Amino acid sequence: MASNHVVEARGLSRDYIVHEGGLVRRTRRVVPALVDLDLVITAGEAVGYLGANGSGKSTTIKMLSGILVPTRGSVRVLGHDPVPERRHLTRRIGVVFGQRSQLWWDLPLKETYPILAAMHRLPGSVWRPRWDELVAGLELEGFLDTPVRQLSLGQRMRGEVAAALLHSPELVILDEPTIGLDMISKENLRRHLDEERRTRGTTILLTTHDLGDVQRLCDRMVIIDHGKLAFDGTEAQLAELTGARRMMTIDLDTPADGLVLPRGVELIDTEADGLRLNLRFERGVSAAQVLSAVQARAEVRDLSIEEPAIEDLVRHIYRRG
Amino acid sequence: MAELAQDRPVSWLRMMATLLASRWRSQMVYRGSMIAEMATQGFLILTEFLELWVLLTHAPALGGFSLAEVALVYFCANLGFAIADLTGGSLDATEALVREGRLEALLVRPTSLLVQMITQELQLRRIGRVVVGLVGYPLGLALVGIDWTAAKVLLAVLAPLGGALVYFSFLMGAGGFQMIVVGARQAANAITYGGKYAGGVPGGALFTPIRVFFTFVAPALFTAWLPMAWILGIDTPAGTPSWLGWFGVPAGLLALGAATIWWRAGLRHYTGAGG
Repeated sequence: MASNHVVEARGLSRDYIVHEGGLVRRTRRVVPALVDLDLVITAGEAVGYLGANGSGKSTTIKMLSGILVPTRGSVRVLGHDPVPERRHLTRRIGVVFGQRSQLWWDLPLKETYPILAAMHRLPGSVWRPRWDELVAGLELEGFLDTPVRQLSLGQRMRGEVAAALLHSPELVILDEPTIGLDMISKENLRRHLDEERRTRGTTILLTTHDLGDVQRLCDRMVIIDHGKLAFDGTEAQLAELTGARRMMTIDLDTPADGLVLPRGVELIDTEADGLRLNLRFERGVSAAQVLSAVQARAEVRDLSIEEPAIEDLVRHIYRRG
Repeated sequence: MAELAQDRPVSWLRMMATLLASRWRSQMVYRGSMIAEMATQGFLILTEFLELWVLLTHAPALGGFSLAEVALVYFCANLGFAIADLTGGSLDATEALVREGRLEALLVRPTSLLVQMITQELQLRRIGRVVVGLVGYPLGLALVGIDWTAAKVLLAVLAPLGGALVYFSFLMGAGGFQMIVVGARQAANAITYGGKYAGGVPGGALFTPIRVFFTFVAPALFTAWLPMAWILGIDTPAGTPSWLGWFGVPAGLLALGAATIWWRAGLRHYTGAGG
């Protein structure tokens, strides 16, 4: 394993055994949840791990964090074999399960951290400065004395992230961290994670349904569909792969009569008696080419360009699968 | 907030103290209900004993034991069980953790699952049972009129400790079993609570196969009947001599070893099956 590989999975697969029927006529069915996943994540990367419900995201995360044994293939996380070396690994990774709390339900939020620090055997000189940093960064100050059960979802989630980061893990795995959060809470969380990565070089692996998380935080997307790797690359590569086209809306002073468009550009419709053009153009065509073609026929007053919605790109991948 | 040492790495004991203190504070949040429950738990032991008392008012002896001697066996077994239940009582509810997915949250921490479960789920209300045992057991020893020797004193002290080990093993084994067969909490607890019941009565009164089972397979009869029979000098049926009462602690340790294997198998199954 290369030394900067934080995650290295080769042919990683997991089957679940499902028993069906009654006591007598019982059938055993093997359901593949993840099939031959090859995934390498290097130190400092931020990877968005996307997939529909039941696509194998959680299965992957469980195998990476050592709570599920792979059926086939191999996986190393920070050089550890996750299941047999689970407790060593937990000292070096932080995991946030969006739906399962790491906090002490009945106690004020601030009491969680000394307990977790004790579990990680961190002396006060190590964890206290770090905690102060997290309290400031995640803006926890206002509700540190509130019992966890009384926190709002957004407050609790910030508390969860602080709990996962307290021991300064090298890899943070977040499973749906922004689910159910309002826009401000989401942005606050994303900003902090991004800062954590930039200042400490923390590797981030994020599963989400919210493509905003991926766009804001990740420079790489991995999409799995029905347990199989469907895409691994940047957003631009995804757009290229799916043949996604950009949209341009142009407002004119006079209608552009006799407009000749370059290859790969399509006029979808016109509005306001021809004073507004809605155009769609392929990846190979630049916005400048489209603009100059229009300018040859009429005076341009205003324009806007719309990138393909990431949702549409991902949907395209799912459909293809 | 618990203060941790500023510079030196935190020792295991320090960690345990922090975990237990947090548990104490958690329970103090619901002080009123906890005190009420403590009292109820203590009261429960007494009402359970009523059953035996009613039985003995109709038959003067049970398995060669008089009413006062039966009470002694009962309180000795219950003291052992109460100690085990205080520390490991949450292990028999492992199934709920599995079902709700909370086990996963515990598994991504660097502390052993067993330690986390014992400290996080420690129920102080169970202290009520321990208190009743601590009062009832010495009282029973005083009332039955024993001709005390040093050996008898030693065995009287060892018996509830062996009992605590045996019952803790039952709880731990049941927890391991629940990780393997989800939905089998009742089956898993059959040995724990069946063993507790069998351990609280004179074994001589039990049907032979049951007596043999709870002596040599699930060693519940080591927790009170055998040591008390030795102390009181009461004959026991062939195959289960009263001197076996001295082997309560070793039997408990053996059971604990077996329970550890079960627990690990449960955890391995859980990580193998994915919950």
